[in-house]
Amino acid sequence: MKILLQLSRAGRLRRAGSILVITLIFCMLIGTVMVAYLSMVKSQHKFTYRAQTWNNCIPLCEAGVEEAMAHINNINTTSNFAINGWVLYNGYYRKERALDGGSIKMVIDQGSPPVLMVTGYLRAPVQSNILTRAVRVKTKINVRFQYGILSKGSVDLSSAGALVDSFDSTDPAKNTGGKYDVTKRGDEAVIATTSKNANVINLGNNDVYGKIGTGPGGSAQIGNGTVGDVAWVNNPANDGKVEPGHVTDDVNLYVPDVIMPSPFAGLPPIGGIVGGITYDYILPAGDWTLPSISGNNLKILVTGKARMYVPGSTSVGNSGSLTINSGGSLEYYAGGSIDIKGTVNNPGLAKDLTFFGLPSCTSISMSAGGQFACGIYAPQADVIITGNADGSGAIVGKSFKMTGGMKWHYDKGLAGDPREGRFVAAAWTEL
Amino acid sequence: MGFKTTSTKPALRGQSGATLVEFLIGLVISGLVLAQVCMLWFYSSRTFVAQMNYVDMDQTSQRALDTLSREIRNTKALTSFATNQLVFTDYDDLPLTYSFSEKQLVRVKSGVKKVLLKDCDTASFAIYQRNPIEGAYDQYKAASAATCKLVEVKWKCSRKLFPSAPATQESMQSAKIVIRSNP
Repeated sequence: MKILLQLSRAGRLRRAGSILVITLIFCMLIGTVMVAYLSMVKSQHKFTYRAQTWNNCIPLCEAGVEEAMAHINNINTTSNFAINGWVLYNGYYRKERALDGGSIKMVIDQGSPPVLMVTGYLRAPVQSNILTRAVRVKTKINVRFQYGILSKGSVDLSSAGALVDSFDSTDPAKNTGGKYDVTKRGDEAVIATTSKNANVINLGNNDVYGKIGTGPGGSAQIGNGTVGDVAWVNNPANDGKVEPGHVTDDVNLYVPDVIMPSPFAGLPPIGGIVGGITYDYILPAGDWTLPSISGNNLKILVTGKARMYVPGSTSVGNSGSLTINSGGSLEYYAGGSIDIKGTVNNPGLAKDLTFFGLPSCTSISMSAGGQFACGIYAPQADVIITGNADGSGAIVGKSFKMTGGMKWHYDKGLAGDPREGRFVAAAWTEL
Repeated sequence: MGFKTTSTKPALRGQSGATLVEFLIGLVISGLVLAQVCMLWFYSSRTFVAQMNYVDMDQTSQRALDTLSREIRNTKALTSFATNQLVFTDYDDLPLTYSFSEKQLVRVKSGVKKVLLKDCDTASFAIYQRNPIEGAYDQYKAASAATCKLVEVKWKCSRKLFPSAPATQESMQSAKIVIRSNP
């Protein structure tokens, strides 16, 4: 009986051992599969998260570029970038900032225009190392007058006899005595609008030596006029046509409003007699201000590099004049409407006279009897130029209309004037 | 001796009968268990391979997308466009080409060819201006390469576990990349 019992227990034990082995094998198989799955899931999660983090470094760099661009365009950083937390170290202006769980290092070199280098740092997921990406942005000066006519709305050049072309007051080969010469006419006048409306540019039967551009979907109304280079426009067979490649609908621009320069310590100007002519106001170098200007035969003489601020309206009649002496220049900041007739900067160059329309300036009208030269930058103003003479310079306005057969000559020299611009990105490279 | 005979026979008789039944039952149960294990192993392996396939395709697509986004962003301009081919002027003024043919997305620069993607069922390119459409998360289409400021890339990849299997593993990728140095 004892032997049988022992034999029976041994059989049970063998069976129990087999079940245990099978269970272990079964568990091992399931465990192997589980480990493989978890390993795969972990790997995929890590890869995805790492890629996401790696891509997130670019927005960090972009934020750094934005801050550096804002810094170099700050009105107080024209000659010294080592302010507002930026320090000059080893020949570079530097600043660091923690942002969104990472950090950015921004560097501005001392070149002109400066080059920006920004590095974004983010911690790699499930690891201790840091992911970095760096970009280098070359800047350029975005001149205020890069187009002959830039509008945020309509451009109406339909009056009979109108014409738009270009010259360069800074290139002797493209001017005569700095002035426009029809024999040296250029074809670099660009008429652009950010509007997306159909027929937003109306050329009528007039010619444009250059290009035209609208916002996406916008179009130009062209009667018997033409748009193109000199050879194209001068060929009568091209009337009513636009030279291929000389019209686009991809204008995408930000036109910033005018900001009053600071500091600006304006004094009321006084008048006097110069060269036997009585002037109501004589503006030597410096800042000047008047509440408003009005007069049919009001005469203004600029003898130095002057700035003038008029918060109210400006009205000069047919007998009035605005004269810029050699070596003088005027930046005219208008808070109200401008209505000028008479003589404006004749003779003179556009680079020496610029009208700035502050956001409250909604109307600018110029009706010069003779030639005139100026730049008009008034993004909130409807600009109208009337007359049958020649005008030169460049215009930025909310809308633009030219009447009376006026011929407008874009002065390409304004595009090269570094005083007029602000820095924008010219080239973007990831290092 | 008599004690021994009478005491062992019933035990041996009962033990031998139980062994046959147990053997048969055990055989059936073992077969069932083995079949279950084999099925589990088979389906687990197949699912695992399918998942690995998908993960591999996803990671390959992600790498390709990262490469494209980084390189296109750095280019200067698009010089030639077709829905299956893009030719850029790269940052170093050399041509950089991406093309799709024979189920492959290929990058070519300086004569060096690199396959970014295999098993591509479809891949296409589209070009846009940078101007956003008001009220929509989209951009205006560019009429030509000259006005292109933004490139859209799309592709769909799939693989089969074995030739007769349905192509259930696929990975769709799409991105819009701005050419940063093209003002």
